[in-house]
Amino acid sequence: MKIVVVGGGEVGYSVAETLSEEGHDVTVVEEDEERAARVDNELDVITVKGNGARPQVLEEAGIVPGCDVDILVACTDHDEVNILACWIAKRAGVKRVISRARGLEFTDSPTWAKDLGIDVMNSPERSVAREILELLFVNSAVHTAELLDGRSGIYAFRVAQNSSLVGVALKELRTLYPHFIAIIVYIERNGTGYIPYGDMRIEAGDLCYIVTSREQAWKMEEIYQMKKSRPLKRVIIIGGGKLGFQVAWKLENQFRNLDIRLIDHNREKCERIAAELKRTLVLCGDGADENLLRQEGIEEADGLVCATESDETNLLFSVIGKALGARKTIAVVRRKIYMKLDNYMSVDSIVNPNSALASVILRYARYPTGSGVLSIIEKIDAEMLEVAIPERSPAVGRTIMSLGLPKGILVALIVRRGEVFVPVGATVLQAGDKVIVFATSDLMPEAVEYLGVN
Amino acid sequence: MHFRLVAKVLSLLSGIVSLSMIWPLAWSLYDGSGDVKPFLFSIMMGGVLSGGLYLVGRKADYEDLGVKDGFVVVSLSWIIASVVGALPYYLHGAVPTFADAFFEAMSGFTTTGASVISDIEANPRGILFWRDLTHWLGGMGIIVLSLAILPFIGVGGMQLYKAEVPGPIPEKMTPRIQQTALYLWGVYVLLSGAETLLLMFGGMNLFEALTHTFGTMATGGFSPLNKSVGQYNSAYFDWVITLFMFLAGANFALHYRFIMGRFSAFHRDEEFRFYTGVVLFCTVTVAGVLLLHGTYDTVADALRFGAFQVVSIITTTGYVTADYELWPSYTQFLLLLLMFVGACAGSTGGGIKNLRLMVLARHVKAELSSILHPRAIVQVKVGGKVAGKDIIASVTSFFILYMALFTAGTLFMAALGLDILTSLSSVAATLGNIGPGLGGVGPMRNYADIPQTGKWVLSLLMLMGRLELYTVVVLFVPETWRR
Repeated sequence: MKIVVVGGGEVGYSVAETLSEEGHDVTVVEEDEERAARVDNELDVITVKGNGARPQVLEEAGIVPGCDVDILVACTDHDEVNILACWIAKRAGVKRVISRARGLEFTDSPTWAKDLGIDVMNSPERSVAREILELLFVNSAVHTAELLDGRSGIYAFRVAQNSSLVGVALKELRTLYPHFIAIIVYIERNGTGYIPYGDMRIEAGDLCYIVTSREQAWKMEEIYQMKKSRPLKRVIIIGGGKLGFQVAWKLENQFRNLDIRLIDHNREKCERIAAELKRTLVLCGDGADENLLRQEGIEEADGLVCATESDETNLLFSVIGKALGARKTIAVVRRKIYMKLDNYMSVDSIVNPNSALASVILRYARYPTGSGVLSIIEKIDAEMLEVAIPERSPAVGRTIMSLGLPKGILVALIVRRGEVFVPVGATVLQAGDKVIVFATSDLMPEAVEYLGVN
Repeated sequence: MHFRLVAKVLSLLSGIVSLSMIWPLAWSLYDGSGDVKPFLFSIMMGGVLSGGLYLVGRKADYEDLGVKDGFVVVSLSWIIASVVGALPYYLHGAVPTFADAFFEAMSGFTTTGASVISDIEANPRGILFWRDLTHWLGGMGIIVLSLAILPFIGVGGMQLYKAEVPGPIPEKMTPRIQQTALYLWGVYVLLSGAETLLLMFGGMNLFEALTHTFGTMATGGFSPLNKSVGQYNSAYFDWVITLFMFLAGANFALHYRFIMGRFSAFHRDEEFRFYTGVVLFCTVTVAGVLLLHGTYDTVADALRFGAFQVVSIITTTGYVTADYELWPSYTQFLLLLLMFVGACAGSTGGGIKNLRLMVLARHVKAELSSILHPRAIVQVKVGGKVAGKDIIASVTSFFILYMALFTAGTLFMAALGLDILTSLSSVAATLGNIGPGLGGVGPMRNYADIPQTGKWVLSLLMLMGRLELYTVVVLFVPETWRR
């Protein structure tokens, strides 16, 4: 496919890198000299220097009426540029256009994207805010991603030393916990990841990625971590930017009695936020001020969300917060390399809006007609795809066992007439079933083929 | 430095070079001449070398190819190609020593066309075909060839491409490096086919048409005839070869665009216009001086010989149709200057390249205007695009390095006891990948009489010229060899 990526920052770079490695013809448009040079030196793509909202620049990148460009991805920091680039591309006959939206207004209602003629519009801040909420709610989950419009999700739990699961084989789980709708789709053990099989036994220290319904997620932590979940009482947010505000706003709406405190060092910003939020206590101060943190009860905090502009600050604040007694700390980072730091620093979870966006774009570019939303957890080399089984699929009327799926492909959940359940080998697939498939990245195209989608 | 990875790529390259000896071998088998055994033996030795290197590097991953590795791989590839390529000459006895054989092979791959063989026609056709085939392989680049035919080199290939393709800013015609390499070779083969047909149409046999085409399209200059193209004394051949030398000296990205239907590509390219201007200006003045001086009687002859020599030198081919040492000194000096100018970026030719000279000239102009208008912001533009500070810096330092190498080389040759004209022109002609120079290495003579040490040094200069200095010079920086 021919793909034009407008913007060569963190998101654009990683999207262009992956797509070019997958064998697509990629052209990157970037205005900043240094970023353009970096892309040009390190990736097998063509670089066009210039503002992606200008027709002439896009023309140089191959966007001319009647061109054969398949996808345009606009992921600069500026909504104006993204929207205009998409509009110009759409008029030139580019089949699909994807845009990043920084301003949350654009993704508040789906009509904006439709009116602007943009196929997919995504605000990573929104999905990341949702992820942070999930991480706060299911306190011992290390990672999470939502599935089926939030009705279920994928949660990663660490197996505690004293967990009753230690030594249990996966195939015995169903009989041990018959009332759980949950399936382990991936296990990370000593830095290596496995797509599990029935005879595999759970060990202490394993990081298990579990697909389960949202209502049951918090019950999971009782058996994995052997401690009672307790309801959220106090959350402290440092940084009143877009993301910090979004998290506070969502928390206000979802938890009636939650004590929310937001700290930012900019007085004007604090005043604005205080005007817009209802119950949140907005504090003007330094996130590294120990007295302030203690005064505001960091020891009692169930969650500390560090969402300032700076990655490094967020990581350090999380460590400080943890040392001062916060139960769970979450750091927001934008650089990919920092995602691995949770193994080395005492921070519970690291979330990254940029990789969240990059993965949304990539999934869409890869499986354009794949029905449903794709979800991925950046840390592992596996993907999850929601597909609806079409009428003409060869899989209709057959049991999952008889499909002969290769190792590395897992049918995790089935939604049939609104009911969510974990399939067994003898489950017969029906047309219209919404299926969640989990597979390693290289096997996903094959999995899609087995299910007769596309 | 990833030594195993370097070994793996070198194994590939030496394999390709050895395998390409099958073509000259076919000629010798067809003729039943005495060079069958040398070729068979060379292919075997090349194969053993390739196999050995493969054993060392088989576990390496191409994706690890870094910037440093790129330079090292490309430079070493060319050296290994020349070592393997020298075997047939040496084993057949076409040249007396291995230094001579290496010089001949390096001259072939770098498309220099400087020869140490005095009686060329005494050699069997296999050897002669090999000389020109090395030109053809080296012209578009052995690395670019392997990128085109070996898809698995992938992302790391870009480092190699940048290190081999001439010009200050290597151009990619398509997003994928492999495709670009494939198109470049496609255009190259297409133009070569056209020239071969035109030459055969004029009466050359297949062998001579092919060898001369290889020599022309690669801007090499080896001819299977003792007196080069001049031996035919045919206006038709002269003009056909002049035309194709001129085309080979232009940026191949332009040829590609032209073939793809963008007919304005040549006209719109500033470097091509400059190159055409220089060629026209030099041809007209040289022809005028030749007429005035009475070297030739008719305008047609003066233009034919003048144009051939001007194009042959500026494109760094080095074919000769006339003994220009008998020409007036103005024309001789002009030709010497053209040796420095060289062809266009992205062509098969050598020299400093028109694009760099344009950047330098405009930089000087910009400096001038900022002296007159101290507060003026002046941007150097080439081809409608701003040549930024980093490009100007790299072009300037390229120019300085080129001149420094030229000076040092000349000094060295003079120290070996050669006269000034020979020292000077032999260095200019090898560093610029031209071939024939003036004096002791003039158009009617060759490099056989240069001392052994001189031949090694000139071989190195040819390599530096072909790979545009930095790729080779970094090998002498200790930093390159550290892990």
